[in-house]
Amino acid sequence: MIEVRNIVKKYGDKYAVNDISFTVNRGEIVGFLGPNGAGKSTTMNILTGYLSATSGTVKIDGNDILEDPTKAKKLIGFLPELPPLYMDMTVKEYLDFVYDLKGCKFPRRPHINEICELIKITDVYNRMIKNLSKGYKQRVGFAQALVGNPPVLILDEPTVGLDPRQIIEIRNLVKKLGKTHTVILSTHILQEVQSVCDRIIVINKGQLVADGDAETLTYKVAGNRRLIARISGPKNEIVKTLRALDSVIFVDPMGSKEPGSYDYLVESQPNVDIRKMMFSTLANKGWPLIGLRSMDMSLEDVFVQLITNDTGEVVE
Amino acid sequence: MIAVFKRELKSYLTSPVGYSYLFIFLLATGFFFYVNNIIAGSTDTIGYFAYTRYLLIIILPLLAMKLFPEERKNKTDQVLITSPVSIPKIVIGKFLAVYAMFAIGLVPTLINMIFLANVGYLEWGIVAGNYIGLLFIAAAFLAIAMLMSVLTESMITAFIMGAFTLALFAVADLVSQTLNITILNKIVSVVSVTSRYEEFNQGLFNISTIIYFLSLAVIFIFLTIRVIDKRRWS
Repeated sequence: MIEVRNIVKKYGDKYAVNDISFTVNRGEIVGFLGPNGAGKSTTMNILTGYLSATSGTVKIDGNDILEDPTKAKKLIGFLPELPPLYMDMTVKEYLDFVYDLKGCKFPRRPHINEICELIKITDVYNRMIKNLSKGYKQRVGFAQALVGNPPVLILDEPTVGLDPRQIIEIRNLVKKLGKTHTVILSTHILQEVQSVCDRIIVINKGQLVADGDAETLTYKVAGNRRLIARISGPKNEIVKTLRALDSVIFVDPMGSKEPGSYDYLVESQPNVDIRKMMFSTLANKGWPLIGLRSMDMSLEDVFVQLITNDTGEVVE
Repeated sequence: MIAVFKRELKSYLTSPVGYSYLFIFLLATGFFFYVNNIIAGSTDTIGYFAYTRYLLIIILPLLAMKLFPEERKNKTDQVLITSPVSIPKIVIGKFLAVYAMFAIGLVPTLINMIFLANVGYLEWGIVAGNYIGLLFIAAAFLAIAMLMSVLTESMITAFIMGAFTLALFAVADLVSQTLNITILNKIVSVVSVTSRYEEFNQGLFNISTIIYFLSLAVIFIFLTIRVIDKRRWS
């Protein structure tokens, strides 16, 4: 549905976006993740045709955004970082204007009413936009993106500046829309991608650092697998035995949390599952394994590791 | 294009810019009329229109200054440019709106003419020539002022740059006559707005004059489109 090939955006000799490529399939919700200033907004502005890339191509459902802008732009609903609202209009006038601007064909009133119901702005329908709260302004911006029912939604930080309840509402809305739309959503909030997106694209300093779903990213980035094992038995011998196992690189006693047992941090080589081996070894020795959990990296850890990874290698 | 036109014209009719324009324009033309015709007891309108023409130098940049700076400041240009409407259509829509707003201000001044026609002999040829002349000159001047408004993010700067550029066009003849340099004279005689305008003053319609004003408008509308397009690339 969205095909981005090698886009580069240069400001002077600084790269805002440096050779980013990805494809988004129909019906996917993709989270665009990166620290502030990573190039998220620039990329989205290029996708929507607001900016032109220095080089590279963007195709929306096969329509090039530069060569066939009218067709491509008709397919996109865009919510920019700052909702593009005319303060001197009422919500009704504004949505009517966007409806005309997008040259919509289907019946006006039912369409706009439906959007207002969905976004929950019906109660401010006749109010001036400049008098609305930030949360409502953001929602009117969202409504604007939905006018014309475009199959692709590009949302630049849709929850920024909202209160926690509104954030949850917007996230649920994005999830709901994701069933019928292709969505790209940018954010620097990790819980947001975790709760909403099927797939995550991480960019940093204008470059694509990672692309995949949350679990794959965690697994790939985490590299070594870390486990925390709670074992009852003689501490020093257990450490010795575990260290002797194949594929185990590191064992460290962590302290006693439960009387008669001890916790150990066990780190194995990547892509090796040592749990069965560990269990049988301990069982043979007669040291019961009474607890075992993996110390997965949180997405936060993954993210921090990704953006501090100097090699800039793409994790696939 | 129609959506852009409608929104822009509506925003003129609901904003201080629109009303300041109407207020200043009608007050000033009323004053010119009072001095030139009422006090002088004359139905000769040539002086009245000459003043009005000079007024355009100030009044048209005042009108055009809000066309683009506001959009850029509030980022509303994003909704325009990412919509399926092409940039030329956006620019033309805006131009037509500001032009319509100017024309709206022109309508009440017809009362002055009707008044004159009732109290004495009025040369309708001159009046018609001047109204049509004002409409053409305003098309060219508004396009110039529009270009100035797209170059800056500040309305004040847009206004000053617009008024300055239009003043240059208006005084070009005076300057070239004073300096009397052959090359300068030749250039000015080609681009001069004032000398072209004289024809309208006599109630004449010359096709080349009309083409001249229209091409000025087209060139500056085109430049405005180019500036917006260029900005996306830089």
